[in-house]
Amino acid sequence: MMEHRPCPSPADVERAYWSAGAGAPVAERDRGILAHVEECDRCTAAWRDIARLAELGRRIEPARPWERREELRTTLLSSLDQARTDRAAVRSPIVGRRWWWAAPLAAAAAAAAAAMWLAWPAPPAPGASHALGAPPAADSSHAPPPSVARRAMVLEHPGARALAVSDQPDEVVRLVEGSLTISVPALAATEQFRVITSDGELVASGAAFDVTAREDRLAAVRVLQGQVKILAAGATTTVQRGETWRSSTQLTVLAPPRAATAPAAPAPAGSTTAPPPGTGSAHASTLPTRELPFDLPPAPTPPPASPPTSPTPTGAAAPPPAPVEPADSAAALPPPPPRSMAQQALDDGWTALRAGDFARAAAAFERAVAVTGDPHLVEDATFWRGIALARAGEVGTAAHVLTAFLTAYPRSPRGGEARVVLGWLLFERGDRADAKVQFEAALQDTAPRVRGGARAGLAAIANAR
Amino acid sequence: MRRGVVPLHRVQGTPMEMSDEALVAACVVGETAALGALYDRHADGVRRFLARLSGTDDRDLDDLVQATFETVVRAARGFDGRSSVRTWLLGIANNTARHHVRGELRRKRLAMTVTAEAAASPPAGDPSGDVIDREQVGRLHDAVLALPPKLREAFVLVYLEGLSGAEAARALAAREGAIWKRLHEARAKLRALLEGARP
Repeated sequence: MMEHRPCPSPADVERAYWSAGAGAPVAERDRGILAHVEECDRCTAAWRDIARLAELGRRIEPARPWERREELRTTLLSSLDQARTDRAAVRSPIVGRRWWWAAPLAAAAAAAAAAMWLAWPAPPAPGASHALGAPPAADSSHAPPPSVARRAMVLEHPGARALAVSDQPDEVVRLVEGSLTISVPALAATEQFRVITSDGELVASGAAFDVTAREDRLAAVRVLQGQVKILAAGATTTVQRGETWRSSTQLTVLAPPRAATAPAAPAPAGSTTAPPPGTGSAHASTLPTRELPFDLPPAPTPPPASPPTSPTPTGAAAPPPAPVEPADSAAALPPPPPRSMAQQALDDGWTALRAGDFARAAAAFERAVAVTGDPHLVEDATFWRGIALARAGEVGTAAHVLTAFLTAYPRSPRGGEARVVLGWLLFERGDRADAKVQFEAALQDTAPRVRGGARAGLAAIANAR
Repeated sequence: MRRGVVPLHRVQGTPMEMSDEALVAACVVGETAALGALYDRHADGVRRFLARLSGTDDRDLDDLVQATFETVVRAARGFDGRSSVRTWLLGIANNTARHHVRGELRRKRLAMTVTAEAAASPPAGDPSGDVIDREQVGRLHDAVLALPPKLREAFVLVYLEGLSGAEAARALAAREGAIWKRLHEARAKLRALLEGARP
């Protein structure tokens, strides 16, 4: 063949070869090279050399099949959990030889933090100001030491839909559909393992069991070892080894909760005892929405005749107002949509927060995060979970949650508040540099109260030096 | 897919339903389930790439895969979506292998040993074409392992993994033009190595 034009550079031939094989339209410059290659023996030989190498090369595979694939996966995920725990441990404020002056520093920090939490950011109590008591200073300094994470082993059965939501000290698996076999090691008092469905949850430690959900409802639990506590359908049941628990509501899982079946016992959060028609909106109407420093998720329009029959917080030991719903009023008014599990969980969280039950509040907000599909609601619930954990003295977890909140929602209107609280948490842990960063960022907030809190934090850091 | 991920919002879809990009985003907030899903999808490809690139034995290969996915968690925040997640992962794996001194030394030893063996015992007219093919593939792999790192990386990414020049450039943080040049140089060296290894 004759060469009608000068040969392209070898690099151009490479580019043209891979460009032609990529499936995308060939560039104009490469089209010219392709035309040249067809006419040029030397370039054709180079082209064939590339093709041969590519063909041979694709057959290079690892020498042996991968036997340790799953083992490596487990090791990888476990090591990440361990690393996270180790990082938390390293950041402990009382370290090494500086312990003698770290103790008074921690006490001062605890006092400062308690003072801040006293006024920060308190969801107003219905009908009473400052019903949300601040924890005593000692509470906030009693953060449990970081524990070594011991994760449950979870085996997903075919078709199961589940997701690990969080790790220890409160490891949560959100189960939507199907079956899991779970082995939970014996946990410390500060740790727990839970499986959550939309209508209930189970708590286990030192146990092995099968758990099944249908249509996002807890359907069955078979305990193989140890015991499992189930909170569902308004009751707490402990299932022992060899026993199987089945939900009696399975046949009616798709039916809306009926008022008449609501039990008189306290309804644990996440149970199937969702408020009867009318209760959700009535409950919402009892919330002082104007005073709350957050926006309630859009509540169903309350029926005009639906009285706030029960100012009792959800989960209190009072009988639910459902039975008082007369048949004629139900006929006269269209029933409002039932309150969602997420909204219910939020309500539970705020109620518990007002009552000073911070651990329960944190659990309720976490549940709201796990079950909702509304990003705004997730944002609210995450923020309040961080606050509740902080007030519960769970310094490490609270800092983790608030950090995650700020990462996920950098433009949140609650960012300033979160930064100030996080700043105090970090300060308490002795991480003054990071605390300073948070306080300084909070100085940019538009709310004077937030800026004041940030200034107080910076002053505390300066005084501690 | 589907939807973008909202960090901390972990209920809409299981990890296996999420896009690669959504899984990386979930890794940013420490979602180990997302990392597990990424591993399930890409671990085999990453391992094959590392085997082609470094030629290490099984144990070192496992170390490299683990180190790669551990780095994913730290690097997830920097993922900007300009390349596919696979390309991004291969870039991380490449860096991991590059800095894996033990693996590198082992690779050199292995390459020298195997090349010497190949030169010492050429296929003696084996009637099976399959065996001959395997010999050729083995010799090519040995030659690839003997390439200088920059040439080897470009060659493995484009020739063996099928990345485009632009993708390989992103994975290696190089200009696309440099990739084509490296490929040409790699091919020339391979030809020399393969011809040199022949009896």
